[in-house]
Amino acid sequence: MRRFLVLLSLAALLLAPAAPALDRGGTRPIDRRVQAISRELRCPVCQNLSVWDSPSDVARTFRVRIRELAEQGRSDAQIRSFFVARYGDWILLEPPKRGIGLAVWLAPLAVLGAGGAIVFAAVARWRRRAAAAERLDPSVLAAARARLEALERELPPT
Amino acid sequence: MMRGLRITPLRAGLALAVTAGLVAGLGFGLSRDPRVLAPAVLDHPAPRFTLERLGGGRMTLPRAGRPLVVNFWASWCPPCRIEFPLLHEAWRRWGNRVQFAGVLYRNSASGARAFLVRMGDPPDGSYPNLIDPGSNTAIDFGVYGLPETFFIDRYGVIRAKVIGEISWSELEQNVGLIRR
Repeated sequence: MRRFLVLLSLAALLLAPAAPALDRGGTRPIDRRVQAISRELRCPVCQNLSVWDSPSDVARTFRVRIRELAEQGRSDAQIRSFFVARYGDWILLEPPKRGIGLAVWLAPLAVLGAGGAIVFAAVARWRRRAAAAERLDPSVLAAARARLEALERELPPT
Repeated sequence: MMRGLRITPLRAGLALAVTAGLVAGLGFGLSRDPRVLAPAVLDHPAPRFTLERLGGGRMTLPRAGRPLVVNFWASWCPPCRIEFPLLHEAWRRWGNRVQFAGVLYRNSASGARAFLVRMGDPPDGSYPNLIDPGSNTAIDFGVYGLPETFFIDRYGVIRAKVIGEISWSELEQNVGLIRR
């Protein structure tokens, strides 16, 4: 009997993490909306965890509030701006595409563009130089070729 | 033939500009006080809330024409316990002209009550402490963590917010701001 109880509690321990938190379960459309929105919001007390991923009490409170707002018929954008109005743009995990946030989105593109321009200019210069080499004066080329042949004649036969 | 590495005034200027930009960006980011991060609710009307008092009865705040100090706290939060005597002293000094209120954040009523009794300030002995089920009022105020103290002027506008343990000078300065 005792062994059975031990086994039972072990099984309960193993199964416990598989049980979803009440506010994160469900597959109805509203559950999916709560999940999608809470993945975009930053948990205020965590290091770069979304409200969806965080196990903290505050994040759970947020998820409950998101669900309430969704049940009241607010759109996704309205729910996002509800939290932005209270916590600022900081609450969004992805910076909004305006102001300094826009710079964050555009900076990598700008750097990529600048790098591309540098590579393009370098390649163009190499090609110009190669082309210039081909346009050598024929008399200079002939003289060089004659000098090379003379040197080869001086070499001992192998 | 290392033409690519030749230093020209244009290249030197570009390198300097890029370096200066990076240093300025880093300097700006590192010198900002993270305690005043994203004060989105600042200079906005404070949300109105009606909550149950720890000592019984309901209360609606802010009241028109009366400045308000709202302190979000919990008895399990050490800096909240440390700053409590300061808030109590501020209430003793300015409570006749400024409304003070505590809002409990994820705190059991019994835990908060026990702490207040231990501090010699049983519920409603000084200023009211309100129970915020579901932390809805805290979310409306954009509370990140504990403690946070909001200073609301007589027109109901949030004029200042202090994140973390408050100092006496911060209390004095911000109460002065909302008493005007």
